[in-house]
Amino acid sequence: LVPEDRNRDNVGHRRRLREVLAQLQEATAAARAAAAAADGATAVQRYDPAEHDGRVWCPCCGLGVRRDERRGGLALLQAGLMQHLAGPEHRRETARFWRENRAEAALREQCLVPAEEYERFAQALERALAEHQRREEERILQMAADIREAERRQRETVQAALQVGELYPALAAPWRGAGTALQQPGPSGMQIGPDLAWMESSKVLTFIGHQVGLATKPPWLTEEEDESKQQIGPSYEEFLKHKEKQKLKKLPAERVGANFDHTSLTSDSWLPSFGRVWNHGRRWQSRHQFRTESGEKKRKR
Amino acid sequence: MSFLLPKLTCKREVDQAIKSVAEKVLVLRFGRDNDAVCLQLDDILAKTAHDLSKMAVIYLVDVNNVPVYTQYFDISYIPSTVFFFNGQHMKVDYGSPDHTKFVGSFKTKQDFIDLIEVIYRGAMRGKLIVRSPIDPNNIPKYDLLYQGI
Repeated sequence: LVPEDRNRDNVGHRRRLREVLAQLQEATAAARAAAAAADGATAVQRYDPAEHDGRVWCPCCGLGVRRDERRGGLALLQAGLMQHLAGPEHRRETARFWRENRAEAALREQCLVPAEEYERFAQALERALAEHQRREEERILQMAADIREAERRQRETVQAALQVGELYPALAAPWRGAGTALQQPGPSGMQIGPDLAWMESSKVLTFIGHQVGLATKPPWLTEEEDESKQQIGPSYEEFLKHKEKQKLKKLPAERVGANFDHTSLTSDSWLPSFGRVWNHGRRWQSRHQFRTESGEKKRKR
Repeated sequence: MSFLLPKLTCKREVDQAIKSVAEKVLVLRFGRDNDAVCLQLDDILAKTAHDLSKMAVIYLVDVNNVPVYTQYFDISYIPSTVFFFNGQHMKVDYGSPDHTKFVGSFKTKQDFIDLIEVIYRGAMRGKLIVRSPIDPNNIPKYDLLYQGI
């Protein structure tokens, strides 16, 4: 955005300003919505660089803010953005930005997060984090139990096979591979199954809780939905808009109100420029004149 | 006749009309529906609205519904007709004391059509004030009182 005087009032600047603010508002609204539901299980997720490294551009402070905060191997959704939006730096910078670009004051509150809301969010996040850790530990214990159970069952199966192998060695033979079984057909008292003594002798492996990072999908399996669904080329609505613009270009550039922004949001106290009967000076001055008049009247009453 | 034309009933709607009407003359008739002269004017507006639909958008506003605008536009006689183009007020030199609005009713439909056309062409050339093409004999006479006198 260009904070120069001559560019501040033209339509292009206002359009860009509106777009930029719309983006910021959207991000803020998303962050606040997420903050409102921070107690849930979705607030804390396993850190995934592809997903949680995203930054949000803050036009007021002129820097990209990390949307999610990283804590070890976990990502706290929207925490980075919330922290930025609630910070005093951001508050000061928005004030400056609004003043310099003459944005509508009503929108400013939508791009800020009150301190108490952030406090609440931070507490909820801590709770969610603790809850997540507890669940993680439970899961690990559960997995360890499962693994132990599986090992026990495997050992039992092997034992059973060995016992069978003593009577019917052919049944036990596949244990040593098909080749050996073919080479040594028939019963053989010499053949004992694989040496499983090492298994019994050593203790069951201790599980220390470290997991190989397989929970996330490999990058070639993640679907890229955007590209497949998006239509190629401009849509019909965009075409109509473009046609309207072309039509406007044909009109004389110096016509009355050529730069008038028809889509701006205005408050209830908005008044159009109106050259009043007894008015001296420029047309917009009559609006100020009217405001002072009505203000005086109210004070008199 | 007034039921043929769209009405604006509150200040917000008037704001919206002024802001949203683009590249056309916005005609705001301030008055009351049951006033005799208003009825006459509304008849002319309603009958010409379709012919002028590419150049003008016409709305009826009840003066009692929008006290802010009544005061802001200094409306002391009804009907008063105010013209806007792209959100800018268009003044017209009628030869009467008030250039900001047309007070009273037009004599014929053609007068109104001529006036809209002159305003439209003037606005397209960037003029904020135009000279009225209406015969001075057909313009109602009235005296403007200065506030407080």
